[in-house]
Amino acid sequence: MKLRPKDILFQEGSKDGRLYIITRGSLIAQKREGAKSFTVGKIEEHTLVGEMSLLENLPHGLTLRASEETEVTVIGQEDLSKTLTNLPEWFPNLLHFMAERLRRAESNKEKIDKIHALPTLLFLFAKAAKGSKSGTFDLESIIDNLKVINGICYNDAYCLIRALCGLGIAELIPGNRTQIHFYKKKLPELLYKTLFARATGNTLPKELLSAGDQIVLSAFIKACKTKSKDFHGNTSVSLEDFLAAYKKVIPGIRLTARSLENLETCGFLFTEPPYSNGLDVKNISIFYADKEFVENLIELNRIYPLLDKKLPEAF
Amino acid sequence: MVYVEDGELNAFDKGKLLYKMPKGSLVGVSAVMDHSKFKHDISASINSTLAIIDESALAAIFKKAPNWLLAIINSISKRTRSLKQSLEEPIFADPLQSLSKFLMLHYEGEPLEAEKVLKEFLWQTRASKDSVQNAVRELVRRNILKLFPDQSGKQNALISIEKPQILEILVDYLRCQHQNKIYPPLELSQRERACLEFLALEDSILIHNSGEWIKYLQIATPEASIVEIIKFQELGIFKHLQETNKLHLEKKILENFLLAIHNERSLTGSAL
Repeated sequence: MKLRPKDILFQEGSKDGRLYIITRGSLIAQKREGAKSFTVGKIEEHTLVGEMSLLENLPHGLTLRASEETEVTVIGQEDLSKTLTNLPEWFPNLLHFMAERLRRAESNKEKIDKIHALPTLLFLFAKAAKGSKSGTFDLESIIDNLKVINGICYNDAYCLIRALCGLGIAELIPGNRTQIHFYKKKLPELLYKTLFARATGNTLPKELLSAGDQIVLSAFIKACKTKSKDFHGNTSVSLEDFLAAYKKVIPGIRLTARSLENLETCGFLFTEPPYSNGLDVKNISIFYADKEFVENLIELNRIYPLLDKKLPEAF
Repeated sequence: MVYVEDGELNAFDKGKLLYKMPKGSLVGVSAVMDHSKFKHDISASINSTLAIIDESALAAIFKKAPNWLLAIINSISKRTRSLKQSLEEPIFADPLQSLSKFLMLHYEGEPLEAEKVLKEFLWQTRASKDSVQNAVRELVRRNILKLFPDQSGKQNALISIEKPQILEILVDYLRCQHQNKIYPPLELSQRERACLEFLALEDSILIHNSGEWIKYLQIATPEASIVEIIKFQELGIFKHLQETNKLHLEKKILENFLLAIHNERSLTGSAL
C-alpha cells in the first residue's frame, strides 16, 4: 500500500483487524484529547503498527498520517489464519494470552496513572478554590497545569475529575468553558493536606476521625441548623440543643464528656467550660467551633474511605 | 508451559481451588516467556493429556513462523514489560518544566521552605530525588531561583523566586522545545524587538488603526512597516477590534513577550 504525504492510514477508534508494517517513509501519530488533536510521535520505517488490531480486532488507539511518501505492507485476518494453520493448535492461545496480558497491563497502567494524578489535581483544585468566590472555577487551566506537572493527558484527567464528582463532592457545569463547582469550597485543600500527611507521616492525620468523633461533630452541625449563636467568631450551640441533636443522630447512646476529649485536643470542637478530667456533661453550657471547618471535616471523613475504594472502581 | 490436549487441570492457591483449565488451555506462559515462577499449584482433576512446551520447543516453532509474527510477539512482550516497569515512574514530559510550574503555583510571595516544598513535589510526581535536585540546580543556574540559608543558618533551606512569571514563561518555552517549535518571543528580529520595546512605553492610547500604529512605531524605528503590524497581530500583541479597522494593543501579552526577550539567557540556559 502506498501513501502520499498527509494520507491517513487509519483513524483513532476505527476497526479494520489489520497490522501494518512501515517498509518505507514515516507517519505522524495523533491522538484526540477533548476537541483537540495532538501529535504524540513519529512512526519510522520498519515499525509495526496495529498488533492488537490484528490479534484481537481492537480499535486503533491513534490516527496515523503519512508525513512523506510512505509504503506499508498490510497483514490481514486471512494472512493470520493461513499462517496459524501451519503452526501448532496451541499457538493462537499463546497469541491471545500475550495480547490479553498486554491489554491488562495497559489498563492497569492507565488506572494507576490516574490514581497518581489525584494529589496534583487536588493541589490545583485547592489553589483554584481558594481564589474563587463560591468554589466554582474553570477546568481548562487546571487540566493544562495538571498535564505539565503530572503528565496525565486530557482524557484521563477528565475521567479522574468525573470520578471525583461521582463521590458527591463537586459537579461539572457545562458551557463554553466547562467549570467545576465544589459544594464545600475548602474540601480540596483539606483532602490534599490529609493525603500528603498520610503519605509522608508515620501516624494518621488528626483530621481523620473515629466514628464516635464524627457522630459528635454531626450532632453539632445538626444543632447549629436548629439554633446557633456567634461566639468570638465561632458558632455556638446550647447544651440542650446539642443533646437533642445528638439523640437524633445516635438514638439511645448517652453522650459522655470523654467523647469530647479528642475533638477538643485537636482543636475541632470546644466546650464552655473547657474539657478536663472529671467534667460532667451536665455542667457544659455551650459547644462551639468553626462551623464551616467542621462541615468540611465531616465531608473529608465521608470521602476519605471512598478514595481508596470507590475511586479506582470508576476508572 | 503446558497445553491441555485433553482432560482438565485445577489451579490451587494454598489448597484453595482458584480456577479450572479445560481442554485447549495454555498454562505457565509467563514461565517460558518471562522466566517467571509458577504462581499457583496445578494438578489434574481427571485423566489428562498434556503437551509440554519448553523454550527449545518454542524456539523450533518460532523458526517456522513468518518474521512479522515474530515481530508481533517481540513487540507485545516488550510493551508489556515496559508498562510493568514504568508503573511507578513519573509521566511528565520534563522534570524542569514540571517543577517550574509547581513552584510557580506554590509561590505566594514569601520564600518557600526547600525541604518541605520539594518533598511535596516528589510525592505528587514520583520523580527521582536526583532529577529534582538537577532541576533545582538548573533553575538556580538560570538565575530563576535563589537558595539561601534560614535563620538557623541551614544552607539552601529557603527558595526565593524574584520573578515568578519567568517560571511560567520557562514552562511555555520548554513546551515549544518539546514540540520542536521555536518559542515565538525568541524568534523576533532585532527590529521587531525594538518595536515591542517602544510599544511598551505607550500606556494611554491603546487603540489605533494600522496606519497610525505604523507612524507611531516609525518614531523610534523608521524602517517599521505593515509587516511588523501583521506579525504582531499574528502573535496576539495587536487584537483586531471587530467591525472597526482599529487594533488594540494587548499590554499583558506584550509584557510577556518582553519579559521573555529580557530573560532570553535564563530561558535558553545558554552562556550564563
